[in-house]
This record gives sequence, C-alpha cells and structure tokens, in this order.
Amino acid sequence: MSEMPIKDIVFRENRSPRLLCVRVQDLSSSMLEPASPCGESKIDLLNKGRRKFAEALKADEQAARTVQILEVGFGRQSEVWTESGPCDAATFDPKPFTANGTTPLGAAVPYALNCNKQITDGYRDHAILHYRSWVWIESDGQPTDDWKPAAEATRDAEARGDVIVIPVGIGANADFEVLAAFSRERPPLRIEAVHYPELFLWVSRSLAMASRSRPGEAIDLGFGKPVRT
Amino acid sequence: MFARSSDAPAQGAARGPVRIVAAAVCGAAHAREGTPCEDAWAYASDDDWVFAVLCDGAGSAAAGHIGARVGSAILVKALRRANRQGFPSTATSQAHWHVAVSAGIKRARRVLRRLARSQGYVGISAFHATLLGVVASPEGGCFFHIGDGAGVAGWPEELEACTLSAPANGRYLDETYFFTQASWQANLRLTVFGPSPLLLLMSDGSAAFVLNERQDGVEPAFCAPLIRHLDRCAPAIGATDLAETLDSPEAHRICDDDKSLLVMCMWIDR
Repeated sequence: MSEMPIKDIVFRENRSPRLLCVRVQDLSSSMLEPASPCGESKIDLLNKGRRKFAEALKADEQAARTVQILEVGFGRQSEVWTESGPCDAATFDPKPFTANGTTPLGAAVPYALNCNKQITDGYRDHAILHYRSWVWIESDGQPTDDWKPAAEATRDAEARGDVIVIPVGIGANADFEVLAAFSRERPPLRIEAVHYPELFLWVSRSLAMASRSRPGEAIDLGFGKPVRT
Repeated sequence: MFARSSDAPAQGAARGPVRIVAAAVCGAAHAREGTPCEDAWAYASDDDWVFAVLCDGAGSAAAGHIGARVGSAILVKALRRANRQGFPSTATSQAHWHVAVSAGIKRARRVLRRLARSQGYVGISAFHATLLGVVASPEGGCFFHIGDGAGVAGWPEELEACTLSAPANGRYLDETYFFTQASWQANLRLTVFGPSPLLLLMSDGSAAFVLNERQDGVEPAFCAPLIRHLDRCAPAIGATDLAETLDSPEAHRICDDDKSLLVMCMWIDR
C-alpha cells in the first residue's frame, strides 16, 4: 500500500457498482447428447465454455470487480435450483454441471427473476449502485411445463426495465418460438453447442463492456435492441 | 472575498472565518481512455458567507465536462449576486434560496443552449451534469441538489449528527438526474441546516468512501483524520494532500470514477 499523505485515513472495501448476470440453464437429459465431431456432449462443451467465461471475467479488472454471476439450473424431476452464486466474477469458480431429466422452463424463469429481485434488493439495502441485470435463458429443447405465464412475466419485467433478457437456443431442436416469447427486445440467439466456448467469450466481453459503461450508454450486442445499462 | 473554480485540480484558500480546500481527480476509467475529468466545482466567499457548487458531467453525454464547468461557475456567480442584492436575507430561507437557485439554473441552461447551437449539438443533453451546491453563513445554510453526489453540514466533533443532502438516483445507474434535463425543477431538492462549521461537497466517486456503507452519513474513519489533517496545515498544502488521497490506489480500488471533494470550514462560536 502506498504511503498516504493523511495519517490514519481509512478506506472501506470495494463498493463498485454491480452488474448481475443470471444464467438460466437447461440441464435436461438432451444436454447429454453428443455435439462435437470427437463425441463431446453438449454438457461437456457447456462446462468448457463456463471455465473460459470465468477466466475471461477474472482477467478483466473492471469486470472482475463489477460483474456478479448467478447460475440457475432446471431439469431432473421438473426441478429448479440455484447451481452457483451469486458471487463476484473475481471468485467465480464453476463446478461442472451434470444433466438429467425434464425441461421445466416455465418454473425456472420465474425462480430466476425472483432470485434477481432478492439480490438487487440487497444491493439497494447496502446502498450499492447496480446496473440492470442480464438474464440469459438457454435451452436446447422443448419445455415440459406451462411456460406461457413465465414468458409473459419476463416480457413485463423487461418492459418495466427491471431486466435485460437474452434468450439462447442451443442446437436445431431448441424451440425458438418459445424462446422468442420471453423477450420483445431481442430474438433468440441460435448457436450450436460446439460454439459454446465462443459464446461464453462473447458474453464475457459484452459484460466487460457493460461494466465500463456510463449511465445511459447503449451497448450493441450485435443482435436485437442495444442494451442500455 | 475570494472566488475559485476547478481550473487547477487542487486549491486551498482562507480568508477571515472561512477556509476552503478542494480537489478533483480524474478517475482511472477516464485516465485509461484519455478523456477529461468530468467533475467541476466553483466556490466563493464574501464576508462570512460561502458559496460552493460541484457538478459531475455525465459520461454518456458528448460534453458533460463542459456542462459541469458552466453549471458550477454560473451558479456561484448567481448566488453571490443574489446575496449582494440582499435577497435572500438569511442563509436558511429555503423558499427564497429556491428562487435564487432556480434563476441561476435557468441562466446556466440558457448559456448551454447557446453553446449547443454554436457547437452543432442537438440540445443541452450534450452537456448533461448533476448539480450540488451550498450557501452558508454562521447562522446556517442550505444545500441545493439535483442528482447524485452528497453534501454534509455539521460539527467536526459530532460527525454522526451531520445533516446530509443525499444522492438521488432512480432505481438504476442509468436514471441519474441532471440540471440539463427538462424535468430539473421536479428533481431539485433543498435541504436547510443550522450553524455548521464543517461543510462537505462530494461527487459520487468520492461519496463511495467519504460516506458510510449505507450512504446515510459520513464515514468517521475517513472523515475524522481528514479534517484533523486539514485543520493543521496550510490550505494549499491541504489541497495537495487531499488530491493525493483521492488519487490513491486505495481510492481507485473502491471507485474508478472521477472524484471531487470540497471541504469548507467556518469559524463559528458555539
């Protein structure tokens, strides 16, 4: 620590503004299907991408200090759970996901929105400024529950300015019509699982840009409406 | 009588009962990008009155730093003029200061409109800036405030009981209020306080560590040593030390935004 000119002065800990990234991740059985020429499954490629995501965020000083990650999984016997977080990007250490079961997308998204509200309320309680949360909804198949109320609630949250919603369909069997119902501002991204590492690198760069943005600045993600942080 | 503006990053002055130390430093984010510091302040003292204004230009605006400089300079001039004209007559006359401050803001907006036209900007949104100011005499004073940043008034030995003009943003970082918005009158807040030897104005970059965790009062562990130090040294040296503190790695670790802090001390018999 440098020598301060004023003796005994004390600075408190990091009070950087926060940007919460909520990942709502399909962990149903279809994620076990092979997706690469060398037989890696979608879940293997997802876990590889998540590790790159963690490394890229840690390598960016601003993002490491500003971005927080919450991962919500859905699958098993129509279950939804918090896989990891919320934690600062600086300490994000993703344990490998496993895949099994059904696709309760309709239960997962409201759960994630509720978690988001609790976390952002916590920011306010501690007077920590925060950007609008980014909610990534990823699925590779058709939902196995009633998703329409969840889609309406998400569109409403987006319209109120509570969240920025980014739907992502993995592979050809993803239901893009369903994913499109979750956001009015951007259509679902379409990617193959083999491109998961590139997706995560792109996500980390977008978050890093947002974490440097000033109030009101628009960030072009390259699809859909620019994100206004 | 003296008047200063933030042409130099750190200044100190003392005359009669008033002593002012001010500093503004560029945040790490702007330093990386080579963009100017967007905080600007101006202050003046006439007899035992003090006038100070701090503005923080919006990073998303094309020329927020210009809005900040124009706003702070014009408001201080307007307040001094009102005071010399004998209106308002007391430091704590909130309704009267509301009139004087509003007139100053309208003048600043007119100047910025002319500037926008001459520079080819669509409107004064190019100069978006927050505004925080104080007018005070030994009888007390009044903060006027649009947007974030914070003002503190009180006694150095009773920091926990200080009056606070708190930051006011919307729910999210992108809902900061500016004096250059059409809705400025709805977002103008005035806060009156009693006799206060210590006055602080700070931009949000400094509020991150000058205020406590809940941002509803000062952080004594930061403020008490600062005030003791400034009380013991000449204003010019105090200003340099303050600038160095705001520019320290510890300060930038907490917040990489521009940081400004004005510390004003008035001699008041208790």
